[in-house]
Amino acid sequence: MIRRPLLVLAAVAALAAAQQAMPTAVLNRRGAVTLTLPSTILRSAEVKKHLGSGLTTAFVIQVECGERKGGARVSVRYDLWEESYLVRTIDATGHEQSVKLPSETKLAEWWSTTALPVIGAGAETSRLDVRVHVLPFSAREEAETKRWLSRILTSMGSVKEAPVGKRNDAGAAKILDVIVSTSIQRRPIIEYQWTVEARTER
Amino acid sequence: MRKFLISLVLVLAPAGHAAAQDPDFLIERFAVSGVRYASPRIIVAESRLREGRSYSESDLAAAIGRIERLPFVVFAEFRLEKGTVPGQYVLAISIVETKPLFVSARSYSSWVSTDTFADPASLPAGEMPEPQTSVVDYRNDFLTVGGRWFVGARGVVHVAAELQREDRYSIGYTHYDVFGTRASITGLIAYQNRHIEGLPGVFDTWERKDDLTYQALASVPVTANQSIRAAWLQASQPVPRSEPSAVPGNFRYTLDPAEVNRYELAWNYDTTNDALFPTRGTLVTASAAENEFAFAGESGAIVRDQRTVLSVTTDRFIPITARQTMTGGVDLHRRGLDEVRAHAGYGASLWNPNTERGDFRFEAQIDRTWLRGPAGARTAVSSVRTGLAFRNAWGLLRLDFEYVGWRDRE
Repeated sequence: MIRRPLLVLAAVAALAAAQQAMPTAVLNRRGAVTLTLPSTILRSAEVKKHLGSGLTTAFVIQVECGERKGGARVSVRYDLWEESYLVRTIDATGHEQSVKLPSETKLAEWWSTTALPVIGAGAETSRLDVRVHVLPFSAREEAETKRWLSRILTSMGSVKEAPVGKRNDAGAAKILDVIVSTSIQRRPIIEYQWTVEARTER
Repeated sequence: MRKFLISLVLVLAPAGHAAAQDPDFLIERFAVSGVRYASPRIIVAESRLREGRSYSESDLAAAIGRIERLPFVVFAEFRLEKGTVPGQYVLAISIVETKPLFVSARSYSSWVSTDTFADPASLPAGEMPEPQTSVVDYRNDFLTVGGRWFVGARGVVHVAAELQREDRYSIGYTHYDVFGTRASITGLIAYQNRHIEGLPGVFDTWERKDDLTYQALASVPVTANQSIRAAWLQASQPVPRSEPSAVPGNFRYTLDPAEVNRYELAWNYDTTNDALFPTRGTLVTASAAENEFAFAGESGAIVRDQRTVLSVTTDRFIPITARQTMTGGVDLHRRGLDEVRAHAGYGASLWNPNTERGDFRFEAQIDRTWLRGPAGARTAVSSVRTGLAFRNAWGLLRLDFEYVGWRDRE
């Protein structure tokens, strides 16, 4: 008699844990998609080992949502002397952000609460295929990424100033190429893949 | 012009900003782990990094590539640790090395499309022979068994037995970090059983049991990714000499050995990440070689002459996914005839390579070679090669298939 509720409880706990280990996505009415990655990525032994190396670890996110493709990149480096995590992100809109986090707990908190724009606009379906490549990272590659990004922004006038439709097509595709193609230069430490149902904000 | 300058500023400004954010790490000491057979000093020397200097992450990434190109290293990893003073670091280098004994086996099957001409005597009078295309198949199997022993902090003795049609046994010594300069020198002596199968009535089977080859090589790094290489080789070359045969008016040939020397000076630019299966980076080599060759003079005495060979070879490895790589390159050679070779290839790891399971790869390559002879005759030939390769800490196995054909002649 006692066994059945225990089994149900275990199943519920396993489901909750599995859901925690999944990214969460939000699709807004413009068709923009944001993605929040699970902090289980940071707890993986391989990732933890590399994060503790004092060298940068890059998380390259690739997203497919029907015909739309998107992505973002998060770079994390632990500064041994300052004993803090330096985090930099480049998202699908070309927006960059830098944050300094004083502990592993704060990093995990930031990680599991930050919604990264992975598709600027135009997504029509809520089903997303998400891939994350965890890469050992070279800073020069990032410098090259920024240079390419800058060229694209210059050549387009400005992606942000471009009409929404245009931004989604040529501009966003180029930014995505830059984020992804300049990153897949090294053998990943580890790769993750999920299919996620985005929560729709209407 | 103004528009161009504004664009230039916009392009360069973020790069400079990025460069400012690109941290440099002042390395006060190296700590090498994972070495059971190899010498830590050689690992540090080949990284071309020095204590007391600052390096960016990309410098460190390039240094990992240089260490992983060493023939006795399977995998290398860097980690920073706090140094004795704030802002200074210990660079911990962790490596997985190959076993001291290694095996390399390769089976190479070729199908070569050739044009043959019928004997004019067998044709009706006045009819010119037409080329008949046929495919000739060859198969070569190679097996190399060898060992490597580290001598002192900077030396490696390597021995190898290459078992093939002409067995070859070699012993060599490489001294790394000569006088603390990061340069290396190698000396090698090889003994080979030379065997050339005779043609009945033309020349007898030729065998030479005391054939020794001497080789010396020095490599001096110029920058982190560039080096100058000087090489010398002395080998024996079979020289055909003709003499009247028993059939009046006919000649038969004998082969005599002649010592010849070859000298080469090369510039090398290498940013690849692996000596055997590179998945990224560029490799460019420009070399000038002075090759001595011997031939029989009119009096029958052996005469020596020199031929200068100029070569430029380029290879670019572009990762398209984590396990797939595209390759491309052009080679130029000038050696009596001009040769231009363009090639493109594809390689894919069939599983995620790791140090326990090794790396199992599929490879495919197409190439086209254009040749121009001294008299201006031109020919072009293409080939396609595909194969499987497996390597781990014990060695390398390869299975290759090649078709050579699609010839054009002018």
